[in-house]
Amino acid sequence: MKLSECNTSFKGEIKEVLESEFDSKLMEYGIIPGAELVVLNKAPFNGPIYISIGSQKIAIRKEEASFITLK
Amino acid sequence: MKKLHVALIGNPNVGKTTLFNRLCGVNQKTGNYPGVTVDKKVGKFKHLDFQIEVTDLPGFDSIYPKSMDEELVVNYLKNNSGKNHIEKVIFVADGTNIKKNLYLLSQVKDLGYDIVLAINLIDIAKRKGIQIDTRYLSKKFGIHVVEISARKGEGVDELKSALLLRSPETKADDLKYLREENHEILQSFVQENKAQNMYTAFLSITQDNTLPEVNVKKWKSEEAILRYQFVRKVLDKSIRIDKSLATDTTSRIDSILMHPVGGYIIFLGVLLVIFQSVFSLASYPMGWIEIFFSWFHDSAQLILAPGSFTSFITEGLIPGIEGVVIFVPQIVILFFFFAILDESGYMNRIIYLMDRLMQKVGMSGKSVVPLISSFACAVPAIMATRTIENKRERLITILVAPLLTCSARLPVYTILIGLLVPNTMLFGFVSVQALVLLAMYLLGIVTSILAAFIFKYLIKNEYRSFFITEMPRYLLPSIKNVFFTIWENTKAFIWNAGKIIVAASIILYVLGTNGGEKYRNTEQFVQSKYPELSQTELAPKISSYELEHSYLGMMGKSIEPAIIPLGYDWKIGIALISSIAAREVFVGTMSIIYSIDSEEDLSIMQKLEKETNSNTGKPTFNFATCISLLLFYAFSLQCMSTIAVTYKETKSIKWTGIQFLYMTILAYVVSFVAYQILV
Repeated sequence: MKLSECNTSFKGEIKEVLESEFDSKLMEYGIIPGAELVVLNKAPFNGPIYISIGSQKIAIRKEEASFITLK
Repeated sequence: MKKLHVALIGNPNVGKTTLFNRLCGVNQKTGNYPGVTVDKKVGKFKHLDFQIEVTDLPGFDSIYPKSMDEELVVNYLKNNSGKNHIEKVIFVADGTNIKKNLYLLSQVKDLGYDIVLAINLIDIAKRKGIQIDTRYLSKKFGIHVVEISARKGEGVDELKSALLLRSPETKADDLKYLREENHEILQSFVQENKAQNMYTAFLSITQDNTLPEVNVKKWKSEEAILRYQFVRKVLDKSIRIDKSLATDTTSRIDSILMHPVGGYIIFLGVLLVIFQSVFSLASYPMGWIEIFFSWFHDSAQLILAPGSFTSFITEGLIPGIEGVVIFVPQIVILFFFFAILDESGYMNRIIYLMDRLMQKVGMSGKSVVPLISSFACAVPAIMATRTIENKRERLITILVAPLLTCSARLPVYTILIGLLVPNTMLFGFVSVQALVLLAMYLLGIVTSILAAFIFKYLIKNEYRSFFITEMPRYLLPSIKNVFFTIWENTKAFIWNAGKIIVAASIILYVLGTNGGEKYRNTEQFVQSKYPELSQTELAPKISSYELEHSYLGMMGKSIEPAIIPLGYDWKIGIALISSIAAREVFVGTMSIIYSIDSEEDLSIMQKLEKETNSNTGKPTFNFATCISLLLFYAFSLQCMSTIAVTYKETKSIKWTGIQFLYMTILAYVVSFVAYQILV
């Protein structure tokens, strides 16, 4: 399942970060395979997704979130 | 005295600026990096027998830059050579959320820098039950580690001393960022190119593609994974969190402030409070400033001997300075709110909520902050666009920001609306004048949205726009930082806009009181034309003839043919010319023109109402002309400070020119159409 398809309060582990122009950018924010995340909130009108990963809280656009798959 | 050059670096929002202010106090100056526009802050302080120079670099998140600010820092760090090279780095980290900081720290360390780690916000971290084993960190990274609270000044002296110490040795377990099977590739690359540093060589491969056979993406993502593994291992052993103390207030506040419906209502409420304060609260100190300046003006007239120097002071210089100072209350209030929103962490939630809507018109959630500042002044707004990573989103934000109603337009609008509609109440409580003013604000907002939408289709997007941002935890804003933000921004406004407005007022006064031959022979000419009039009856004729033939009058006359179709005469022409310096100069010019013109002591509004158009003989400020002028001021880019800052920020004559032209043409066409329909 892709992160972009998750509902609020979904809990899961990252399976893979698909190859893209910004995959290493995502990883620098700690979005790496094996990391656990929680979907905290989703902005309306297909807006960004708000997740917590480790001790960090991150907002990410839906387009980028579709490159993150979950177990 | 021995010298030491230190750079201050770290992720954004870790309190770097607070520490810089704490270290250097007033011994700092802001300059520019060669060729780029990001401010470079340099400060100095003395410690023991060392003179320490500190360069404060903008905050950055990674060695792979995604915005202009970041690119600058990374290039600066990668090319550290020459006379003034960095000898020591203070790496500032946020004690409440150190993981990401340590990731960046390990990258900077691998570049070969001699680092002292300053763990800031330690007071808050301790309150949250976070305990950091600094000795372990020191051993693992091979650096000195100091715990500080820049806000309270704790640990700053230890930090100063640590700068002078030699760093502890590290075991050479380098290359922790590359999978073992690739070590050989990097090592042979280093030997071939005689690179001095392994990590610089690594970056040359991953950033500049110097080894085509390497899968750069793979190397980069493996670096991230390996580094996080390393950082996590270090953190597991060096950080203890007492869970009983750590409550997750942030998540609870977020569920309210980021609510899909409630969040927007709260944001709208926050906006209303800001605008309400900027306009109603500020009106009190603005009234006092007016009273003060009129007292100042009158006493200067009393004390100084009458003559051209005195009238230069009272009619040129004092109104010029007043024109700047009058905006200070609004700017102070606006930046008070911005500082609080930013410090508290709410600003990032606004960015989150607004991102999707702003994307529809080619901008980013991060454009919201500059656009809100535009309601006070476009200059700080355009400077604030630096945080927008995507070039196109940033450019569009810069281009449309001056369309929003800045406070410099307010005095112009106030006068024109006063002439346009009577001060009556609708339904007994809604002021008609306030409604027209509101309509002008809406006009600015709608036009900027339309303009952004058009630019979205005209400007090609070179890079894919992406958006990923960290949400800081909510913090109670520090009074000191709020005060500092207000101080810095107000100072910048007074200096940037002030020097242009004061200079324009002075030039205007000089141009209005000097002229060619006709001007010098005014008295003879008027006397011979009206021989029957007495001396007192002659005086107004003389001043009006003088103004018409002054250099200023000549300039107004020369553009008159172009502005007659808009419903203006040469006197308004003068005001248009002089408000190219800044819009609010319009009011000053009007009062200068008409006080040069008449001896009676009337308010500027009364003077304008009495004025007749020299071409038509009808009142100059009739309905059609007032509307036409309102629209002209709504759209035209009459602000030298904005033009200057757009050039500074875009480094492009082309875009500076496009911004000036599209706004001027828009202003001219709309005013022309409006006047021709209404007249």
